[in-house]
Amino acid sequence: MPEKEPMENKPIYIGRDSDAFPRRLLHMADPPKGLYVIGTLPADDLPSVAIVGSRMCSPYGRRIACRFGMELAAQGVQIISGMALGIDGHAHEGALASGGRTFAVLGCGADICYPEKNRTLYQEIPKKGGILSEEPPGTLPLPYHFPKRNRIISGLSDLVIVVEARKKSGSLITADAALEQGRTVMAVPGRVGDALSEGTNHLLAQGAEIAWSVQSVLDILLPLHEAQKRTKKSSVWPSKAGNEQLSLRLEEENRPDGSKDAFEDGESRLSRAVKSGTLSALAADICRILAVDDRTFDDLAEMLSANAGSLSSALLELQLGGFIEEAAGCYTLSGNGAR
Amino acid sequence: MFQNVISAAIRGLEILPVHVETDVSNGFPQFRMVGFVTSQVREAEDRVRTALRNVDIVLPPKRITVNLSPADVPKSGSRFDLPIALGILAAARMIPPASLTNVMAVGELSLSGSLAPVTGILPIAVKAKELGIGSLLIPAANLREGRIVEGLDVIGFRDLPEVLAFLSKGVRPKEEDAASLPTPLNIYDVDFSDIRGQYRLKRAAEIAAAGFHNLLMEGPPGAGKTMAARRFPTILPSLTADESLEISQIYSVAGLLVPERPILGVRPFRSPHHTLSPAALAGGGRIPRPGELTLAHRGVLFLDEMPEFSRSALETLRQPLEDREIVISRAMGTYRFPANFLLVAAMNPCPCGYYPDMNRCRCSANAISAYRSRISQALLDRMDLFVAVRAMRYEELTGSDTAKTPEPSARIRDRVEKVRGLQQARFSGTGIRFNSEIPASRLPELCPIDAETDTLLSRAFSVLHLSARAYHRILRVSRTIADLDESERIRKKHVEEAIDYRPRVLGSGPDEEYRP
Repeated sequence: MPEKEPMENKPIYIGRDSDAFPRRLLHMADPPKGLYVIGTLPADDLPSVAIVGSRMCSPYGRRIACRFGMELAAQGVQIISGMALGIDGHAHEGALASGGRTFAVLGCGADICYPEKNRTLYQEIPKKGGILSEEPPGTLPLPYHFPKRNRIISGLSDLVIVVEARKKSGSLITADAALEQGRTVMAVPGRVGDALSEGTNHLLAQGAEIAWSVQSVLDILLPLHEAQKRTKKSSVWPSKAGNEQLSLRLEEENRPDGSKDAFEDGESRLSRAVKSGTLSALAADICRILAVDDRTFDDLAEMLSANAGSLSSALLELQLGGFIEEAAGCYTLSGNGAR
Repeated sequence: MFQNVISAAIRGLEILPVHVETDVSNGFPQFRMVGFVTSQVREAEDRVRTALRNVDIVLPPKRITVNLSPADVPKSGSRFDLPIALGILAAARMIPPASLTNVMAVGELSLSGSLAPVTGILPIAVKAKELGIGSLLIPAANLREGRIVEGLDVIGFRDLPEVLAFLSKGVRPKEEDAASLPTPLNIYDVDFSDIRGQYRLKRAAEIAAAGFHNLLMEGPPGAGKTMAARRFPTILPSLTADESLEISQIYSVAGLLVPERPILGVRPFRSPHHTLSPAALAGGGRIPRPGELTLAHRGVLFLDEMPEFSRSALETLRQPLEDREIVISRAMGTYRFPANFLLVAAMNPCPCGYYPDMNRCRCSANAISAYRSRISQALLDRMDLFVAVRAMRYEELTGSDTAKTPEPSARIRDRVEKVRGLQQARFSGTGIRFNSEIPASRLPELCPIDAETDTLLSRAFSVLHLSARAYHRILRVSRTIADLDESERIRKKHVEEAIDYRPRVLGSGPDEEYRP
C-alpha cells in the first residue's frame, strides 16, 4: 500500500478558471476541473513534449527514452510523462540529468508516490517542474485512473513520442487521446519481430511521424509551437528571438562538426578513439563487429578467435570508455542511441 | 566388581573419550544406566542382555550399574553397546579385566549377538591414535574405514564370541579379503568437452576452480547452467591427503561413507534441493549433526535456482562464507562445524526465466524486482564471479558451425593444478590455501598493483559504481587470473578481466540498472 507523503508535500489546487491553469488543457473535450500540483505547472509558452512507453522496456527503449528526455530538456523543451516504471521514468531521469524542466502526471493523488520505486524521481521532479494529478490527495492508484491520466499527459503536450509499446499498451491510449486532441504523435521505430516494437511500428503504419533522432523531433515541434503561438497570441517564449536562440543552440551543441545528427556522437567519438590508437586492436575489432549488430560473448569469441580472458578484458575497456553496453550477456554499441 | 572400558562419544564433529564404568555387585538383580544418556543409549540394556543370552552367556543375578563418564556430555547413538557388554563381562570376571587395558571399543549389538556397523569410526580411530590407545575394537563391517588410520591396531569383529575369543585367548578373527587400504576413486562420467560454446562461462569456471572463488550464473532455463555446474568437480584441484582425511571424517560422522571405499578421493559436490530448511543447511538437531554447508567443506556447494531457496536459508550462508565455519548454539553448548566451501549458484533472471528477452518474458517489473530481491546485496557481495549465460542456438548445440572440439576437463584441470602449486608455494606456512582466502589486510602485500592499474580501478569505481567490498574481491580474482597467465605481476588486463566478472544483478528491478 503506497504511503502518504509528509505534509510539506501537500499539493496545491489550481482550478480550471484560474489564470495559472495550463491553457493547453482548456482545448480538450473533457478538461479536468482542476489540478493538484506539487512544484509548478508546465508553462504555456514553452514547448512541451510527452515521452511515453512500456513499463517493461528493453535496454534500447531505456536508452532512447533517456536520451530524448535529456536532449530535448537541454533545448528548453518541457518533458511530460507519467512517472511509471520503464520508459516514463527514464524520460524524467534524462530530463533531470540535463537540468531541464519535467512534469509527471500521476494516476493517484499527487501526495502519493506511485510506483514506490520511483521515489527519487518523485522527490526530484518538483524541484525542476512538478507532480500533477487530477485526483484529490489521498486517492489510491486504481487501474481506471490511468487512462484518464493519459489524456492529461497528451493534453499538456504539443507532441507525443511513443518510445516502446506492445500491441495492447496503455501508451497507445495516450496516442489515441493525443490524436483526439489534435496533437502530433511520433513513434520510435523498432525492429520488426520485437514484441515491444509492435505497438510503435503499428503507429508508424497508421501515419505517425518517425522519431528517429532528437533533430527530427525538433523539426516537427518548432513549427507546431510557432503555429500555436499565433493562435494563442502568447507573448513570452516563441518570440522570433526565442526561436532563433533555440536553433542557434541546436547548431552549437548538437552539430559540433557541422555534420548530421546528434545520434552519431557516440560513433564519431569511437572512430576518433580508434584513429588515435587509444583503443587496443582487439577492442577496435569488437567495435567493428558491433557496429553491424548486437553480439553475444560467444559470437565475438568465435568471430575474433580470441580467448575468453583477453576478450573480457577488452570488453571491459570498452564499457569503461562508454563505447559499448552489456545487458544479459549481449553487447551493444552505445553509439546506437546512448550518451 | 568394577570395570572401566574406554569408548567414544561424538559431539558435533569432535570425538570425546568416554569411560564406560561398570559395577557388578551383590544386591537385588537390576540394571541401571546413568551418565547423561539419550534413549538410544538406554536401549542398549535390552540389546546387550538379549545378545549375551543368545550367545549362551548367562548374566549373574546381580545388581549391575553402568556409568558413562564424563557425565556432563550428552551421549547418543548405538556405539556403546559393545563397551557396555564388555564392561559387564569383565566386571563379572567372565573375561580377564587386564585384556581391556589400553583398548577402545565401539559397536552396536544385534539381538543375535553379531556386531552391526556404526558411524564415526574414522574420526574415532584418529582420536584413538592421538590418545595412544593400543587396539581399537570395531564391527567387521567398519574395518576398512578404521584401517585408514595407520599406526593403530584396528580389529574388526563379526560377533560377540569373536570378541570374547580375542580378549580371553588372544585369537584374532579371520579377515576375509585382508581389508586392503582402498584407493581413492576419482573418475567422472561427465566432462567439460560436452559443453559447446559458453566460452565466458568456462573461463569463469576455470578461474573459480583455480582460486576457489564463488561463482554465480544467471540465465534463461535450458541455457546450460546446471550442465556446467555438474561438470565443475571435474576441474577442481585434487585433494591432498590431509584434506581427504579431514572431509572423510565429516562424512564418517554423518554416516555417508560408502563401506567399500570409506575415504573420499574427490572434493565433495553438494547440490541440495531448494526446499531445504536452514537447519538442514547449517546442521540441526538437539545434538547438531553436520549440515549441507559442512558436507561441502573443501568442496562445492551448488545452489540451483538460488532465489527459490527460503530467505532464511540463504541468509544462513552469510556467516560461513565470511568465517569459513559455522557456529551453532544449543542449550548444551556451542558447536563449531568447518564450512569452507566454494559456492556455485545459478538463477533465472526473472520468474519466467526469459528476461530481458522481451519477446518471451511476460513478467511485470514488480515481479522481476521481487524475484531478484530475494538474493540480498550482502550475499551478492560475496560472489566473486558473475556470468550471464545465454541460451544456445541450434548450430552451437550441434556444433555444426565450428569444427573445434571443446577443451576436455583434463586440460583445464592441468592449468588449475598449476595455479594451485603456485598458491601452495606463495602461502606456505600461512594457513591460506587459495587466493580467495587472502585476508584484506594482506592484499597490498600479496596482490600489488601498479600505477596504471590503479588508475583503471579508480575509473571503474566511479563509472561502474562498485562497492568497497568489490575492491578486495576484484584484487583476489585478479591474482588468480594472473596466476593462470603465469604472471608474477598483476597486470592491467588481469584486473580488467576481474572487473568484468562483477555481479550485475543489483537485487533490484530492471529500472535501477541504468543511471544517466
